[in-house]
Amino acid sequence: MQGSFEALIGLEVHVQLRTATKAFCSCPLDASAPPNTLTCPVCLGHPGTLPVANRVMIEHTLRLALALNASIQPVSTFSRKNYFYPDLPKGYQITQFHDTLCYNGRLDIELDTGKTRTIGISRIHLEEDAGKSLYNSDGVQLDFNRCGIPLLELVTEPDLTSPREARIFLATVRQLVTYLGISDGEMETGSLRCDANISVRRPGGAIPSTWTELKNMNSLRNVETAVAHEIERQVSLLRQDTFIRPCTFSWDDAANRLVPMRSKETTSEYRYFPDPDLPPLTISPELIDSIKATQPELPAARRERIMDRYHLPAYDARVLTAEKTLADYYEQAASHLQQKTPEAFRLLCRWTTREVLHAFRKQPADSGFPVPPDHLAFLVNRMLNATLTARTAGEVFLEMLREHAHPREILERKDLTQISTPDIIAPVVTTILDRHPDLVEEYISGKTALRGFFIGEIMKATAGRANPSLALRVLEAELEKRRAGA
Amino acid sequence: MAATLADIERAAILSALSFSEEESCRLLGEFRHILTWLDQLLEVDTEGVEPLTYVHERGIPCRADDTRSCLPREDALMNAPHHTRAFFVVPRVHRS
Repeated sequence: MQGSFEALIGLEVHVQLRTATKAFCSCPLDASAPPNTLTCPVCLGHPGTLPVANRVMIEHTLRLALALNASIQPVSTFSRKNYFYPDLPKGYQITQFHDTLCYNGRLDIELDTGKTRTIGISRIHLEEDAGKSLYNSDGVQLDFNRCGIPLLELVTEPDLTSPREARIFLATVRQLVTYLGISDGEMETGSLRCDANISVRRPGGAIPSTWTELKNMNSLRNVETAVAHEIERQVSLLRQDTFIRPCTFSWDDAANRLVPMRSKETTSEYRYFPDPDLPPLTISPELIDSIKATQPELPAARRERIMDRYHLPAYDARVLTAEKTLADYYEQAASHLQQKTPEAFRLLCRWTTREVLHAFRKQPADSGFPVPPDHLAFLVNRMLNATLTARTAGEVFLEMLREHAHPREILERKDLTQISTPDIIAPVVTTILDRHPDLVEEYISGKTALRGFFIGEIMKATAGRANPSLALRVLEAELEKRRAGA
Repeated sequence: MAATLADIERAAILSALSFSEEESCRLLGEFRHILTWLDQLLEVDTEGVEPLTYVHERGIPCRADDTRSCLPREDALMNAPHHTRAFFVVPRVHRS
């Protein structure tokens, strides 16, 4: 930490919930729909309309609450947060303020050192999103497709102490919501958003009374960088004995700096009050039980199971389970392996955590990843029964990514199949040995390490297609013949 | 407590409105009038009375997550004072 100061960081995380419809009306969710085609009198705030809560958004919130060991209020309320802004057609946002659905949770995060820290979650509540404003020279264009989309807000205690921890926390939330299936958790598209509240104090000092807020950090990397910038700014002010003003900053990624948005002293007065259109939300113990019973496997449990079932080391299991899509991919591919041996699982893991993960970064699994898990399993099966070398498999995999074709088809078409007939390999071996009579002599006189050189030559001559164990057998037989003849 | 011009100014900021001095003075009079009326309500003794937030005790009704058809865009935009073919249009309300 910065010299003799320590940072207190709290995050407010907004998660766009994965539902078919909006929070309080039946309009569908579709980010790609043309502007203002997903609206109805309810989300446009027409007079006389009434909101009706979406059951699934409530269930999603309870799922997260259970995963975070949070308390669930048997009765919570929806409130109106009043503010005047054109992206809010009703003039208020429906949110939860006085009695939130869930409170007092905790999330364990794993630091780079391998140690675990528990971060307190003060509240989890539901609210609706606002519309989208597009500024141009004539004024503001408004698209209300997003207006009314269900958002879950999770607020942490100021337990995070470094930019790195803030990033790890957010990544852990992201992993959790994708495992729970309640959100796609993508920061780039705004499904996962994060604001940070930051304060700095001397170690052991009183909790500072002034905080600053950071907004518009739309990637994990930005969160880490922006928080680091702000801590540095506050520390340098405190070193000069300068008072820190409460302020909201926006992160400007292109300029790599924080831009002041507004002073918190003139912050809005939201006049929260219970929404008379929405009676209290009651959560029955039966509902909680039914959600508990259908809770999916969470990241830590899956990691343990994958280590156990596929005989993988902890590190590999962690890489595989970091993203649910990758873990799903691995397990599907594993089900297509012909040999269910530790060796087979490890080879598949190596391919999944290198080749597949690398390709996923360019094209995620859910957007039509060109290599289905059973195609990768096909390649691995062929490597395991020694009818394909790793090198050829690598070439085929690249073709698979490019062409969306089955590996069998690529192997046949490109004549990449492994040479497994001695009749083809034997003449190659003879030619190579004839070319290096001096080395053959050295071999015969005991320098058996030269075997590696000859194998390399055979592979070169067959463009890597020779079956390695067969090539070795043929080579040794031929060398033996020459030794006998010598 | 009597309202002051500062309260009018704050209410104006919260509503993103601006008033001339003359308008502010007129509004101050109206504000005070309304607040006097509210002061009368404070005379009622509510000691020990729970606030009545909702008039019935039934919980929230929930709906299934099933989509329904939306408004055609022309209809959605129909009542807007200003719009393009695709968007509602409003003036800028604050300096960006």
